[in-house]
Amino acid sequence: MNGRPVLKNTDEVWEELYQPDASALPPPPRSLLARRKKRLLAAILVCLVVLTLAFVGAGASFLIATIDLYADIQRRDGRKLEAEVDWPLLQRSLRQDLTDLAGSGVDSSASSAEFLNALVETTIQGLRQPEQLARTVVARTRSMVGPGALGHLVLTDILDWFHYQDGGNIRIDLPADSYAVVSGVSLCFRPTSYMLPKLKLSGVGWPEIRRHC
Amino acid sequence: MIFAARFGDRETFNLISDWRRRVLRRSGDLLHAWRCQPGPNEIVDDKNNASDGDLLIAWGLIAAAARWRDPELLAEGRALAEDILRLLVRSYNGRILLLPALHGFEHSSYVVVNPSYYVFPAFPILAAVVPDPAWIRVAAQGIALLRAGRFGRWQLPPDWLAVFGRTDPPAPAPGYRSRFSYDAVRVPLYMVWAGMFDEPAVTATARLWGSGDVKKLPAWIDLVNGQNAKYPPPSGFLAIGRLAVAAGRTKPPNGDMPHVADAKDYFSAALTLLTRLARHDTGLSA
Repeated sequence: MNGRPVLKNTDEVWEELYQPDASALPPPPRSLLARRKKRLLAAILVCLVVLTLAFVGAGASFLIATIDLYADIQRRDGRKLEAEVDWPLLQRSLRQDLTDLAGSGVDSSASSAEFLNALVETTIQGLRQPEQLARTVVARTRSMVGPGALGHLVLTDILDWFHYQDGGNIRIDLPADSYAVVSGVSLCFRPTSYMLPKLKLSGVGWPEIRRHC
Repeated sequence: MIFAARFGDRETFNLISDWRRRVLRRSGDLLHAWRCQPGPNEIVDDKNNASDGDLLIAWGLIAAAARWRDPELLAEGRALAEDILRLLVRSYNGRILLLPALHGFEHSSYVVVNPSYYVFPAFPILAAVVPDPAWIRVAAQGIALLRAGRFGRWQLPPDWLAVFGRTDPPAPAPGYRSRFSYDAVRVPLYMVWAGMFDEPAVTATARLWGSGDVKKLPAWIDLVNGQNAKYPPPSGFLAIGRLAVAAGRTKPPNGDMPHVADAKDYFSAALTLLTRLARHDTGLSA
């Protein structure tokens, strides 16, 4: 041996390189466990980050949906909304409201009943015009999402006007996108299980509605 | 604006409406500031609105739109009516209330309303272009409130009324004079104009104004301590008194309806003209 390194064959080199001293390695089972733990931890961290981002994103998308609502409503002006309302039911519903209210007064008054009934008729006549119905629904929806006074009356109040029965008495046909934003916002504010049975959905599916929540 | 539309005076309507739009209209919504100091600078020193003012402006716009077939006026009137519903109607302890203004009337344990701000004849006009059943609730509960909110010997509505819980009776509003005076005098005017001749607030007013020589009646009556003004009511009050008497039919109208020329100020002149329109619309002038 003159100090010159012994040239090893390729196999030996590979053996040295890829089969290092076993003592330098952690015990295989523990090593595997640790790596799995690390992976698990990393996965949890990733999940947490993803979930956080998802929540933030959902909030952001809701805000965007709300902003979209304003833009969409203003652009469309509700003109494409058509509705079929059970008018006799609506009429009876509004008159029932008046009967209920009359109980809170001192005594009944024929002239005030006449005035209020005329007001009911005027309102119903207005709602019979699709464009006005659309504007009213949209205005109420805007007041619901905005800081306005009728906000707490929410869209359920609109549905109450229509006096639905098992979701069968009102159908609002809208272009899918505008319908989705209008109803989507209401669904964002109210449990879907409460809202959905009150509307007869037409021309739009759940995915479109959910998309806006 | 209502008068100009009613009498077909487009030029005056435009003059008033343009000024209203330029000076009084608030930024951020379509309501109008309630007060403007006259003068070269026309300073709006309180940007809060007055709900009756906004109801009357919306009425004027819609009436003008119908008269002159003007879609822009209609759109403006409709948008204002929507903002009235959106911003000035409150649900409070199960009652639907018309706030007197956007700010300043909602307290922790009560809400103050002004009975005379329920411009009943405006509701059907606004409901025709903004057909929202909320108008019906506002009107119906307003009527109920006015039935319950009457006080004193004559059982008259006060200028300002406090509304408490659902079961608590309303009362003259704390912090305000408990008077039937410059505000509440319009309650019978608007109720009669809406055809509600036999509402207690109208018949009570008719009893007061029909009880003797109206010129000897006081300008205001305190509904709590019973004190009266030492001076007579202006001619606009007399006009409303005559209208209430005619509507209540407690006795035939005594004397002629005052004329606008009899009024010594704008308020009285406006009341007289409003009363004359109400009398015409309800057939009481016959």
